[in-house]
Amino acid sequence: MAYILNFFRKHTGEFIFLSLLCIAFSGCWPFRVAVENIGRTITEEPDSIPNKIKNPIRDDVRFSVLWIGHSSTLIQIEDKVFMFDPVFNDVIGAVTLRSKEAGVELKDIPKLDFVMVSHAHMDHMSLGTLKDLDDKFPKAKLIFPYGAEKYLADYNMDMIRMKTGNNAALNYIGETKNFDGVKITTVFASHFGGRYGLDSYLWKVPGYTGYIIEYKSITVFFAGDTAYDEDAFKNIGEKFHINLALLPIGPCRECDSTVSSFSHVSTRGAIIMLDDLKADYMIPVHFGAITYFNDPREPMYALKRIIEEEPEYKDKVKILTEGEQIVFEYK
Amino acid sequence: MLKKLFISFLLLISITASAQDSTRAALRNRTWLATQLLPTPVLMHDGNETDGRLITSLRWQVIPLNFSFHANKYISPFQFFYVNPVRKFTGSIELFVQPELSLANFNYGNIGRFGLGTGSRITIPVKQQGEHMAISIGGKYTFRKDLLADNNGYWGIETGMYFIADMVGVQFNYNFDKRTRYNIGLYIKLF
Repeated sequence: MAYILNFFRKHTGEFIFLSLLCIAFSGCWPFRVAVENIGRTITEEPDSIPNKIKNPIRDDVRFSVLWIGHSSTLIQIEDKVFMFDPVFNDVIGAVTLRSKEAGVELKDIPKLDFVMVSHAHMDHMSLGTLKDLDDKFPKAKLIFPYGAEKYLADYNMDMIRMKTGNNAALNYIGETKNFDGVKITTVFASHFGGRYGLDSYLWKVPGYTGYIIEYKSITVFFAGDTAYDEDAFKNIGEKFHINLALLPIGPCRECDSTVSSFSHVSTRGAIIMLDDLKADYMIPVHFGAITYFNDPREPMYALKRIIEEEPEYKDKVKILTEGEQIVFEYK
Repeated sequence: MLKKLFISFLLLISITASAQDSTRAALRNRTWLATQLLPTPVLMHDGNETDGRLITSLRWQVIPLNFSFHANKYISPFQFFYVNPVRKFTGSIELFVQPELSLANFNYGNIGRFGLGTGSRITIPVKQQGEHMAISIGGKYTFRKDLLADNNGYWGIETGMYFIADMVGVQFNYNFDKRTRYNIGLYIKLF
């Protein structure tokens, strides 16, 4: 006992330091990001967005998309309103300051029918935002993949867990549910679940998906976070006639040339995905808010470079800025 | 020998990360156990009626039972030892056990270096449903040997403030005993 006490007494500093290192290397990304970002998070604010749209949902619109920022997207298809991966807070995951604030005010959204969560990572699912949405839209449906329920509190919203189809044996389809004419299908994604590092990287808990929404002849694909998989996305492209694909284009280091990391498709990979999916249009997401390894807008710059070199994508790829809305002319 | 054990402990997490022959549950259990072995530093008051000082101690956080007030319909509100932070910081009540080992003698208080605290606390969400900030309040009884008399324990109250999904925090104890009136310690816990 005396030896143990002496050892700890002599090496208290080292012990604490090594313990913290141990946490960091165990995959506790909030710890790592905190070290890198804490000063900025405390002292700064995200860039504001002037002239935010005050009426994002309109009766005269058949199909519109408003990019809130990062992966958060608001979609109107006739009388139904969907929000994907809602994160409105300035600080993501308690430690990371987003570059730009959310592109729409929650108070300006008059109606919401579906809140769709692709996975429980902090940049895709904010518990605070879910609580705000729950307070304002208690009758909405909260859709999430199997496994994500462990990271959700209890809400007034109708909580609906869906099976995932993240492998070839399932033919890349999880399940389809029908809600008052809205068909929602979970489809393949190659990513990882969890929320707090250890559960994501080491334990590899389940809980991630892509979604297909079909309503009034409009089909939208929301990829969530995913790596590239040729067979999976070609398969999805064969099964559905996709009008719009919301595809992540980062994070990536060499965005123009690499296709995919183990968990994220790159900008080049997203363009290949677009071809595989045979979608009419693509809106890029998952960039601009968080600094991963370089300028958070680098994937967007890379996308612009690719479009410049390959102009056949010019009309298909719609790059929005945070808070910008696009109305598609589908009859 | 002790140094080898110490290094082994520090490497345990990374070793288990590459263990190809483990089932996922076994991997989870081992890495979870490794993280639970991480102690947190605590400053403890060592005093008597006339003098006092602060001594450094180590404290381990064990939660045998947690009951969540906001568990959704797909999950159980009860958790045993392994506690998902969401179910804790969104609002919960729990039983806790805290082994404590001080790194110096209680020269003024004349109590033993090893203590075992046990009690109950309520966690209340403050910001972002508790994920960015939560607070707790609770009561605790600490078993600790008195070196001079037959008075082997003391009652106390505990408050805490937690950040980053309940992984990091600060806990403050006020004990109804002059031998160690105040304790303030870091709180680090992964699941």
